[in-house]
Amino acid sequence: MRDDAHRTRANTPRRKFLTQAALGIGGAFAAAPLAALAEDVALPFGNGTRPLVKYPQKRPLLLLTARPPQLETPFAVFDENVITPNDAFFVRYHLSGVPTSIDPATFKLAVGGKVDKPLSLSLEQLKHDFDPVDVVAVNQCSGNSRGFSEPRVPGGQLANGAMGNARWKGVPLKAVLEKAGVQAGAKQVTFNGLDTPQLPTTPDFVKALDIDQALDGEVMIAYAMNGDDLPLLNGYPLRLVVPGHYGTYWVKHLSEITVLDDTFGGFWMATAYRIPANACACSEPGKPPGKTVPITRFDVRSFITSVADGGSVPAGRAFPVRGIAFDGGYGIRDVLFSSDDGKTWRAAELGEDLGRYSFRSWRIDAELASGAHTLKVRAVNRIGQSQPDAPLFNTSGYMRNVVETTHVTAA
Amino acid sequence: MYRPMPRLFAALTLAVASAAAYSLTIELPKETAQLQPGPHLDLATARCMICHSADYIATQPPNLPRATWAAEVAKMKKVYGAPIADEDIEPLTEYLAKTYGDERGK
Repeated sequence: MRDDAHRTRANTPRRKFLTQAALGIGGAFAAAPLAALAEDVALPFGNGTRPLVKYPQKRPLLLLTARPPQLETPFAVFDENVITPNDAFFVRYHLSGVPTSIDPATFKLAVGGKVDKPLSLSLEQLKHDFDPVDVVAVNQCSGNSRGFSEPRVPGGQLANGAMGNARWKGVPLKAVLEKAGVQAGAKQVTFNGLDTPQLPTTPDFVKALDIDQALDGEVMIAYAMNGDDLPLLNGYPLRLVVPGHYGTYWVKHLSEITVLDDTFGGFWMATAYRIPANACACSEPGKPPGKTVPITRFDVRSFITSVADGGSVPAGRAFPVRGIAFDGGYGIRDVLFSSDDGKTWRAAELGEDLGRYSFRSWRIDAELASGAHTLKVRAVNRIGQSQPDAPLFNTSGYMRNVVETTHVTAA
Repeated sequence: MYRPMPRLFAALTLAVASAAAYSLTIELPKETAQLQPGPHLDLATARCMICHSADYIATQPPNLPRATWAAEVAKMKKVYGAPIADEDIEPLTEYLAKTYGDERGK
């Protein structure tokens, strides 16, 4: 537990003791003033200046918006470890009604709709009545990297830090649905969390998966992240984990699961988070996107993490280049690196395989003469999917996965 | 920045964390961003700030055309159910295009 979130047990003498004790040692349980730190970060696109701000249970992160909160992970974090620490993991809410206090003793997950036996599960029941599973999986916002779109498009103007890789522990959704008994004719399952809209006229954030995917055994109701409780702003006490799929499905503060015998028609499925229904998920700038479908799996991405665009590297001697790659769950087969602007490519050495939904680390030695150089990285997954040389456009700024370019100076 | 935890506090924290049944409570930082001055600022503040902070607008790309801002206003009304009267649409679009869009300074 961090020093800026606090836990209290209501209606017991202990609460008073804790409060007094906390105050007695400097009020450490009280929320810190949490004003913006002096530092601003300039993301590399127009109007990209973001303050670094400290939120509860988080290290200073890039503030995109305060209400509802959206925080981006500074990219240097991805060079520290292939697992993204909980206190650095990005935050994205759609609705300003963030549940800022949650009592795990009274919290319940409701399972209903077209089931034989509706359930109301406590956290204790979830943790003890079901066999736990874990998976290392990337969560990435659909609009990660939207700020780089050309032409620019409205929406959250993110650089590349609305992603993270964690070890999630919880219960298979399948096990919970089977306990409730899914009825014949079920078509979809919806997921709702405790976050609420400011106005009753705003659509609540509810997402849906097809029944086959809900029962695939991989979708998880997670109660732990990297060995700890989920940070509140990442969905405490439960969130849905949909490995290989964009973060929009990873419903936070998950409190309500409903089995439907129809296709869910809610705004966040039927209107929002949709991509052009073609192989590239792309459309012409300035034109309507045509037929669309809900966004689903990640495309292939790779990044250099050891040196930033505009950075410096040593000249005339070998130096290591490091990075990460991931895809929608087939697994990374190759990472190719170029230090001559894409003219020639060499295979990088892949790091430990933490599973096909995880970031895969990679490294390669490079040696450059003094002067300006252009580095590129491209990953290929196990079914041969890769990344485009030029960015693909869609009107929502989703699914960017261009081959990344990093300009460096060797000196 | 990380603040080092005093030892006594660290011990207390462990004791609390080991007991499962305590509420987790956080306090979100106060929002500080305000809308920039411009035509119909009061109306924009009254309507736009009901549901979201000013940085939702301020962080948008700097050169969005009036048509894009008009579409955003329409989306807020029709899709998100913001209480924007028909006669509010034009002045709100005017404010956004002239304050944050490609009509800035014109």
